[in-house]
Amino acid sequence: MNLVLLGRSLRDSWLLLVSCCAMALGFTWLRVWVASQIKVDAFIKFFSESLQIFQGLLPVPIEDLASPLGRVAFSFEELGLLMLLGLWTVTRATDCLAGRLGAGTMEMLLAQPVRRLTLVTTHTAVTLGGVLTMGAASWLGVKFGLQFSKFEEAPEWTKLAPAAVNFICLGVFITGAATLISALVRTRAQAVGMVIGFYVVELMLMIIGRLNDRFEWMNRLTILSVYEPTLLTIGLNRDPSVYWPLFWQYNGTLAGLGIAALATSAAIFCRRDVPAPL
Amino acid sequence: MLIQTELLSKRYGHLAALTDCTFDVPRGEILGLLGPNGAGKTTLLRLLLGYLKPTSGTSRIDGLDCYSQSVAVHRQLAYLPGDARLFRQLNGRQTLQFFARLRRTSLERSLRLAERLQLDLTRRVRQMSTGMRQKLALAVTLTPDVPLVILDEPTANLDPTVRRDVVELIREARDEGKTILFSSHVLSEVEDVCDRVLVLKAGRLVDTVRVVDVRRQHRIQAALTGPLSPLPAQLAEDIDLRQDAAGVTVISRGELAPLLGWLANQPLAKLQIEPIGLRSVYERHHPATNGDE
Repeated sequence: MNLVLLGRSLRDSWLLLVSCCAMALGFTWLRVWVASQIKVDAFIKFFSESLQIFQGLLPVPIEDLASPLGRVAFSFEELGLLMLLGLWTVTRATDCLAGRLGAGTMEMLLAQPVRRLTLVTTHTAVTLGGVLTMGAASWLGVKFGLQFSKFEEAPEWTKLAPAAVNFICLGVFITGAATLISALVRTRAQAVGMVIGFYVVELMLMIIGRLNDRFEWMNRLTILSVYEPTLLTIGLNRDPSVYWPLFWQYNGTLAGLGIAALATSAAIFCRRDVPAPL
Repeated sequence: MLIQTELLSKRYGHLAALTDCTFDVPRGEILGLLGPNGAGKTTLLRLLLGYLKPTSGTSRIDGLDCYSQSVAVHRQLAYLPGDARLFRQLNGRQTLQFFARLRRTSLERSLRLAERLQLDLTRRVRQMSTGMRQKLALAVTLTPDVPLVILDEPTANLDPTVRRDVVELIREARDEGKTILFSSHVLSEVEDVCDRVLVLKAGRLVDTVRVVDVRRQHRIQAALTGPLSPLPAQLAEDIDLRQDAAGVTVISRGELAPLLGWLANQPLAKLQIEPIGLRSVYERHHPATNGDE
């Protein structure tokens, strides 16, 4: 780790990190408060009658989702929060290698007596630190939301820890995948395009796999099948002996693949030719 | 020798960017790299910097392998890219501070260089012109006390006044005992600054010339008003003489005075004497095409 590079990386990214964390905190706070306003009976009736086809997409049965804990945990599956996580991780991870190569700043950095591995690890440490901070901010938003909620029996905010951990592990995975793509291509635009393409394919696999039993195998191919914050939260609070192994399996898969991708991208970058900037 | 390459080659599939390049650079020399775009200059510099893995051959700086020991090599050198790009959000002073801290070198020296290059250090890099950015990068590059400085077209975007200052700084660096590898398209600049020049063509090293030798060479052209007398044997060694319908052309590689003595007794008219210079060497390998200057 190089402290000068670490300081530079922190100064480069603090505004984006603070913005993303503030929005994540505000989003989950508001989301929990809104969820506490929903009338459960109407919610169940609406989903059961009008949106029956989408029930296959729900992470847990509708009754569990309508419970206070289910409604709060589902905040971690909201597109808004996931987009904030994506914004932070993809922006940072694609900047790590392809971004700097394309911008030409890598030229001057690599001419200094600094190992390529140090450049990658320093940048990634800040990105992963940001993922942790965002996870904590989201969880804190849930806590504040619960304090101001109108649930008759508000769940303890600590019960949402499995969702926050799953959210953080997803961040580790995206960081790894985006850094790996960044190590393989030459410009940041290519890296961002490939990450978005990857996400769209994953999302399609998940939707088709969940909506149609014939294509259930597709759901098992996508990494999104191990991002289940609502399932893990409800399961661990209801039947820990069954859901702890699942908790480790899901989070281990996300974090493990993410770290493996980071290690691979570092290995690729340390060996690859560094082209002249475009 | 500070730099040694042996049969250094780089291929991209079927494209040979550099082929069997072998040369040495002793300490304290200013070596120029000449060649048009695509001749292999930048590939050669990137191989020396360890940015590219050689397809075959070796390159060493101070005995260290440029690719496998690149961090140790980078402690021995400073590099200025042709189109230096710095962190756009930093101002000039912050940029100098960042690189000084990274290198653990003196910020005062950076600031002195910046002042000499008339840099406005309060301005952010993104607000700087290309020339100003290049000057800032030059201040970054010339700050560390390292034995080797690699400059890839350092004056490409600079106005004549600053260009003169840069050339002066390069000479000073040489006087401090530094070795300088200098790639440029500006022949007069290379001739002014360099001790020796490598000429590259299509990825191959095609010529190595000492600038002091080039400076001694002259081309003499004249019309003939009668037959030439035989060339004395002591002159023949250093002289190429060609006769055609238009007259006579003499290329002198040595001292001019004895040749002038012989020419004075020849039946010549419209005599022209000009130093050959690096341009002639360059054009021998890269003939001008229509539209070239």
